[in-house]
Amino acid sequence: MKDNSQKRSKWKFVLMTLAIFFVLSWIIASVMGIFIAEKPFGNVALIPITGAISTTENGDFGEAVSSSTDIVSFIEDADKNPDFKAIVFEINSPGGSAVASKEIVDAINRVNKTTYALIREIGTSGAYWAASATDKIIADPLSITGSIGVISSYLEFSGLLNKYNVTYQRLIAGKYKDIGSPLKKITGDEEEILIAKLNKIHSYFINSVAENRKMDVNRVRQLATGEFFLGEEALQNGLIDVLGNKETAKEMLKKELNLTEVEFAKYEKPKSFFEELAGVFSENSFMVGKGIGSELKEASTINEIKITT
Amino acid sequence: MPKRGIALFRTKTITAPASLLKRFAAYIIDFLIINFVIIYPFRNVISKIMPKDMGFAGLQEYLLTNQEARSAMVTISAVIGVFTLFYFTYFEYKSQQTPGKMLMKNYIVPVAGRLTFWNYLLSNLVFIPVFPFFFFLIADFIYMIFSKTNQRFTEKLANISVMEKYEVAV
Repeated sequence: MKDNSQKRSKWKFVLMTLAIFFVLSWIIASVMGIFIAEKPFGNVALIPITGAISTTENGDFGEAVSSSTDIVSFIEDADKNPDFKAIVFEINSPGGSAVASKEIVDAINRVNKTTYALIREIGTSGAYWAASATDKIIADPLSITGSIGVISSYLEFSGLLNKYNVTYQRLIAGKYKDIGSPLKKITGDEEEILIAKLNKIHSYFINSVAENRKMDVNRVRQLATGEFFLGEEALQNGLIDVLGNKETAKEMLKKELNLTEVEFAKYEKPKSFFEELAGVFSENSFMVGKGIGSELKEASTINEIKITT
Repeated sequence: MPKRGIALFRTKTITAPASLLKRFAAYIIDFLIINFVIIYPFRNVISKIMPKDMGFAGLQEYLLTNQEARSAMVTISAVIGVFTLFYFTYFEYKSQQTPGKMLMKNYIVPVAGRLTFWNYLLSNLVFIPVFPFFFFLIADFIYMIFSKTNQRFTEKLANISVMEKYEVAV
């Protein structure tokens, strides 16, 4: 009896110790997993451009953002990696900041491998600009693309302030220091200045697309009204090359590069420890609290001119 | 109530150095347990670093050419090695037996005097798969084959002997 009870307590000790080892291993492995970035494996790099394109990592109110810093580092890594025969950009983005879009375009132009752009639902403005730098653009017939234009519109609150007897105290040194402030009406010459800037960016955008797509600048200028085009319309006016999807891209790559098989290796940004933790809770509820506070604070103290392509 | 039945013969319990076969069997059982309890939780981390669907030669070449993957695998191996070290050390310190030894009815005794935690730790340093500990693995294996008591080299250094009890008819 005593022998049996000793045996039972011995096995109880063994099972408890094994359970503790398992839990500890699992915890250490999970922590290590957070800090180790997933290595993409395959013979063709797949770099997603999803959401608004920005130079920063955080979007407004938790919106998905593609950071140009991350995208450029993925491009450089994929270009250096001898395992990757080509790079495909999977685009689902309405565009974003002019500078961020240009950074991606410049990085694509420096690549020494075959590059394709695969436009999914939307690839407009800055995202289309990035796509134009690739060797081939593939889009679905119903994809939304084009929108070669620049926007910097903003809400102006001077009327609302007047209604509630709130005064904007203008204290500046430099006539145009508060140009674009939402707290005052824009003047005629200020509007002229801003529109001139937008036109310069627009020209740059048009020239770049014309050069990338080997199209006549005047033809691109005709298309660059800001209008978006469906995939089949874009094919007709020369803004894309092929109608299709991921399978189309695979077949084209196999043919062009003499590959028997195409395996995509997707690049993803590793999440930091706090991002993983935030992911446990709803990301949006976290961003609402942070976003509302920071957005209201910034709008009241800085004249922010946002220019997006 | 008195015990019924007739004792056909008497038995005697003999203690002797554990046989090589039983020792290897105990290690196999322990490593199966370690594979599930310690190594299995790391499979997701390892799959992040190592390509799938690649043969052994391919994986070896991948590690030789990829410094980042190599460093990460060395770190993971060292962590698993430390956990394995503590698996053997803790069980042997607390109960003179690991689960594998329990099933094979082997147990640890001191060659002379008493054993402390450090004796058990020293005898199990061979399980850390980094320099210089993996040299102990070679020394242990060779010494064990030629030893009359089937002792490992690090067990000899640590004053440890692995025994088994078995019953013989007298």
